[in-house]
Amino acid sequence: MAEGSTKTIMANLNNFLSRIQTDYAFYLQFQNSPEEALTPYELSSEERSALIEVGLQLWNRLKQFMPCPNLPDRGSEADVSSAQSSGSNWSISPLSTATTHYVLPDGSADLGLGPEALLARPEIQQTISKIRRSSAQSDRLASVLALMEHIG
Amino acid sequence: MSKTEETEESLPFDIAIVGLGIIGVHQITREADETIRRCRHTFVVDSGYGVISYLQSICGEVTSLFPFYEKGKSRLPTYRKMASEVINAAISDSPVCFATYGHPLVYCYPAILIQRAAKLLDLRVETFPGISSLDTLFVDLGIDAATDGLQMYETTDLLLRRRPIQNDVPCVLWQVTAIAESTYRTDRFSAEQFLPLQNYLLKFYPAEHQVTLVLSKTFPLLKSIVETYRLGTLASDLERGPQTGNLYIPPVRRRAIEDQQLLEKLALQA
Repeated sequence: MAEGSTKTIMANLNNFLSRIQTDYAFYLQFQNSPEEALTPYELSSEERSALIEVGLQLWNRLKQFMPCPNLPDRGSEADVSSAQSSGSNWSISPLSTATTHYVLPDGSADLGLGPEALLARPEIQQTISKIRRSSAQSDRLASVLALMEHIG
Repeated sequence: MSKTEETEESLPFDIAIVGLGIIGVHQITREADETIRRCRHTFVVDSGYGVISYLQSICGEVTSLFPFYEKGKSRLPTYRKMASEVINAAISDSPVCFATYGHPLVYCYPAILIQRAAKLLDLRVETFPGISSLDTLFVDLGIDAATDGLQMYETTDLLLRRRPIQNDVPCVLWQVTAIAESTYRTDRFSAEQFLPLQNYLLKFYPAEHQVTLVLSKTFPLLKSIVETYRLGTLASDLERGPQTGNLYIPPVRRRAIEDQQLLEKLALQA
């Protein structure tokens, strides 16, 4: 497929997916008659079937559009079919974990780090004074970050 | 009303913290939507398809905080940077909004930092709930969390503190596939890394007990992924699985009624 044509198809898929998010009536139309809702969109046959079959392929298709710089590479189609047939050996690492985390609690509740206790600490008082004195947003950011390091 | 005009309204806070739900725009509550429309600047952590472009259509300035994540780097400095950006903007030009996927006070440390710092700097904060992955888990499994109660733990925390599990109460383990991992990573975990969890759970449940991994859909057209595993082979099943989501462990039995007097009273009312 020519590069220009591929770009057009990608743009079409993009438009379709955006509309699903923002036009609820269209979303319902697609749920009721997917073929008809897809008619105006120029899509590759793989994309069309991923959208209509709503299986693992769609998870993988969507990954390429997500605005996350550190997403893993898209899995191969072979991996996808394997996952679909066996229910295992996933090639995807879906996106919902992108911001999951474990932060070891600092024990602030036990240490009584409420606002009053924090404000009593000289280093915090100094940092707050610096923040209040800064008039430029860029100068202030470093002091705000220093405050964050003191409090959590 | 234009986006600029909307920000002229007086809001009772300097910083709004809002949750955006799990599947994107469809789960942004009316309350969150109206709040974002009225903020001068929205800082967002959400990788959902189309979410940022939607926010850009309702708020004058939108900044994604996602680029702050760095593969292999500890998340804590990242969260501090995110919170600092929000606080700094609120000092200059409030009201601003911190919008995150899911619920803003469910495993979202930047929101906690923003709240703490705001108190010290006399900034007013209002927090608006969002649909969390716990909410969507109930829907995906079709269960009512109130029937037998619910216990929930973050998986690393469970292992770290050896928290006791009550096996007659349903249990949800959060972030079951990010055990002992404080950095931002996207590569896969091995069965060996899940083995401590399997072994710990086997202290409370039989090996044949079935547990369910739930990855709720993150886009309206997707189907949630629900996979059932045997506890005895949990580590290898998690290695092969989608490597994300929460684990639901049903109770092994229903606890017997002990207060017969209360039971009789209830029977009389029936």
